[in-house]
Amino acid sequence: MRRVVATTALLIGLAVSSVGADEADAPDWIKALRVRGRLAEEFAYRLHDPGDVSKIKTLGWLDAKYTFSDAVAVRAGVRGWYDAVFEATDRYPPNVERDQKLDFWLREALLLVSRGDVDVRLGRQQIVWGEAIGTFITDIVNPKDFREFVLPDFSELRMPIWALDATYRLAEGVSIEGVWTPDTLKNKIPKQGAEFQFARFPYRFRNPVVHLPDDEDEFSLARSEGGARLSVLRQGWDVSLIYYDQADKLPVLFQRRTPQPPRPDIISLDPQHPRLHIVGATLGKSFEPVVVRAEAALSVGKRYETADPLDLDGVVRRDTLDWLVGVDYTFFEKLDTALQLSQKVLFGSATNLNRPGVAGQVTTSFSLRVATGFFDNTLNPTLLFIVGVDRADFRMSPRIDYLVSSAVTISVGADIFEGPHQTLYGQFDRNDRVTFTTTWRF
Amino acid sequence: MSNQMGRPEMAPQTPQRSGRPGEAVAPLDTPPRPSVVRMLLGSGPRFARDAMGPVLLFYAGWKLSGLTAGILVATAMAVVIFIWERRRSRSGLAASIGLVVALTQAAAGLATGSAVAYFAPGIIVNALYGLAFMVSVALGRPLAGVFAQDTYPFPPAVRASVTFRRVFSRVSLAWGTYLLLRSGLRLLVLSWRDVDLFVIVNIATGIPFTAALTAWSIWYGVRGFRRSAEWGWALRLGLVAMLLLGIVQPVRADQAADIVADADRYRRPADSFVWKITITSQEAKKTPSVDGFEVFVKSGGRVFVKFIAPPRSVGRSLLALGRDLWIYLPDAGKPVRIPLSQRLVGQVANGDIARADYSGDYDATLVGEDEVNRVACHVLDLKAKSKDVTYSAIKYWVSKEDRRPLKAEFYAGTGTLLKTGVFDNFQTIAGHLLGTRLTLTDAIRKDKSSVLDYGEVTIRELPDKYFDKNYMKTLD
Repeated sequence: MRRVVATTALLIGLAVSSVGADEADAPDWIKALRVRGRLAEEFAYRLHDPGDVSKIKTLGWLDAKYTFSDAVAVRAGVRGWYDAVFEATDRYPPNVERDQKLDFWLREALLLVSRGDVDVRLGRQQIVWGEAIGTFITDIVNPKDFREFVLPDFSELRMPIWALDATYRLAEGVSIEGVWTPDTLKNKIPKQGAEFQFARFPYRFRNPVVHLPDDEDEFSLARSEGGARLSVLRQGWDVSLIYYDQADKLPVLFQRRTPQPPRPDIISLDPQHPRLHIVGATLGKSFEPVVVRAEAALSVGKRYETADPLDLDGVVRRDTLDWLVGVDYTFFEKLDTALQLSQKVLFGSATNLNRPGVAGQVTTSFSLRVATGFFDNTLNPTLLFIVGVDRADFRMSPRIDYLVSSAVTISVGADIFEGPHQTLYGQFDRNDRVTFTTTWRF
Repeated sequence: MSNQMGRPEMAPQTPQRSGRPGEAVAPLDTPPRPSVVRMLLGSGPRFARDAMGPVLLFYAGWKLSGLTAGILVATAMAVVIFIWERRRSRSGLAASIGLVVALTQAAAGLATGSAVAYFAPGIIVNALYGLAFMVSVALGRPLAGVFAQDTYPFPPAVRASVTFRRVFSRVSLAWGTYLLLRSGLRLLVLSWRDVDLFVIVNIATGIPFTAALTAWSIWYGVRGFRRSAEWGWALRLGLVAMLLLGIVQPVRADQAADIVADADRYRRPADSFVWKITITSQEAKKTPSVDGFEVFVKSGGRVFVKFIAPPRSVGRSLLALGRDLWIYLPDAGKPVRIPLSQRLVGQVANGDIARADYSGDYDATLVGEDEVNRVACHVLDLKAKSKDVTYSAIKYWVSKEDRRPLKAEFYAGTGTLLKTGVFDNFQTIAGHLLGTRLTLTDAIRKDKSSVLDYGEVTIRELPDKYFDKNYMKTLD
């Protein structure tokens, strides 16, 4: 830990000194080094009873890139946080405190090699596919950290993985990318009692139940994952085709009954990660001044828990198609709007499937993002509104960013959730909050 | 030359002078002569359809099948109207706003299951509309003028005139008052939670008043122009002028294209180069903000822009391939498509940095001669070849002697003057004479400006992969 602190201090020192240095006089190794970072203080206050602070988080990011030549570079990035809310309140149980109070991540450790039409990125990284904004339909490679639901920036939600990512340009505007990773990390789910703990599946067992731990290896050559993306840009039409083979990043609770006559059977809930084959496509096109984007992903082998008492393992397979179409338009050359319609379509009945985010065989949602800027874009209000049409659950997140200086930003916002308890946003109906964030970039 | 207020004395080949001394003219479009009946028949039904169609459909759907059906059919109609307007190449401003309002209403109605909640956003937006009309008059940019452009293609010189502003300010005030009063009344009725009565009030205060006010607006607008010393003569001579311009323009088109192509060369030193640009945005009584960019340019309309200052922008980049544009934001972690017209910083649009090729993007017409800082200039009118460019029209002043660009006025699709640009500080860099400063000034707020300083240039062959959107992250 001491070494990490010392390295961090050294990097901050380099970053700060590089800001003031005269670029022309700097030695070559300084010119080849790019260091940047930010510090943020995030405060959140929960509005519903019990109204209380829910976050007093101090975060720091630091990343550096050293360019050896046009062909070779290395990058590294770290992120750490300390959440003082656990000192301010005893509302959260110890397991949540252990999970969320302190965090330190190596966010990036990457070797970049480029030769001719081939680019290779080897190391710990985020690999982002897809055209749409604020959704994960084809953003499938990295697992996600849901400890604060989907409220942080997506670059923070994505958990970096060790991977090999190679791209080959076949022709102008045509490239193929291959990804392979033995890092089979799963999504990070909030612990029981956390602020954004997910609604639990409504089992109605009268039997004794045992919850088995989710202890599958997080690094396995045998269960390594990978896929490919073919990207084509022709006449402004930006199309890509995707295939990816991976373990489901969300655990599926399989039931196993152990007879104990004359007493009732013991039911074990065993979290597993069934294999998924994901086939997808994305599209982007600008019809100035309108930008259209679309995404679709078919998950073959997707499984869901069922409440059907006759189902032996409590799990059913429902191959699932997620698709989205979105339109961006700027009104009065000032008001940026992005409207997206998305659907989740299950191939088979959705009866007895009570997962939040699955309202029926077809689950439809709309999202609208409106943003503008005042005073030369120093004051930037944004509104994000997402509504699940079938169950009328929604999330509304207004925010105002104020650029105090070229390096400091203050943000004030709110996250409002409404809807029935077993819906994606309704499960956080009582977690409405206001937020206040200060960020300093260097 | 012309006198200050009255009819210009120049030849009929340039009949649409703005009335200001020394100012050259934009070419005439060839729209039909305006008349109350033609404009009312042309735009009245469209306006009434946008304003009342979705409400009536909602009511029918609600009565026949329930709230959800009502919301869905009304929303569907708003979507159809929007698509219809776009396919007919109109800006469809009213329809666009109608679509956004309809979608917001649908979301509110579906989320709450209440007809009252369904109607509330529409009323609020209507009241905001009324306020917007009032505020637009105070800002000197009357909103009625924007909507008028949606229904009748006024030439740029007309849009920039005093008469245009005066006439449409009064029209805006009338609409603002009407919309605010109507919103207040409807809000009152809605608070009684009687949807039937609300729909009756909605229709009674809607179609008749809208039609009457539309007719009055057109009648008053045409009368205002006819009676004005500035434009009355032009309306009388309009047909003759159009015929003459029709003959004159083709002869001048080739020469105009050459002039614009020559002027472009002062803004790009080679086929492949890197240019450091600093943009200083300033506004009266405020500290100027400075943004730094490293711009990689290669032939074929390929431009990659790295944001290098201030710290909050570092890590971002832009990629333009022809008229396709992506932005890379570290927070998103991937390139995202954006339109060229979106603002980059200060008065600078993405296209100001990413597209410097006026000869490729615009059709040029030579419309006259003028002087800028005592330098004799050609005056050209540039019209966008497609909708995919930053500005719909540019009025361009180019030196007659060496064809260097000196001044430009940039217009939106509505015909509104957005900003003016001045090119200066010409220097020989890497063996090329280049304009190294462009000052963009807001058309309304003259104290708001952005200065683009073109600094260090490196001429070198850039690899093609720099202009691949999948490589943007690597270049961060």
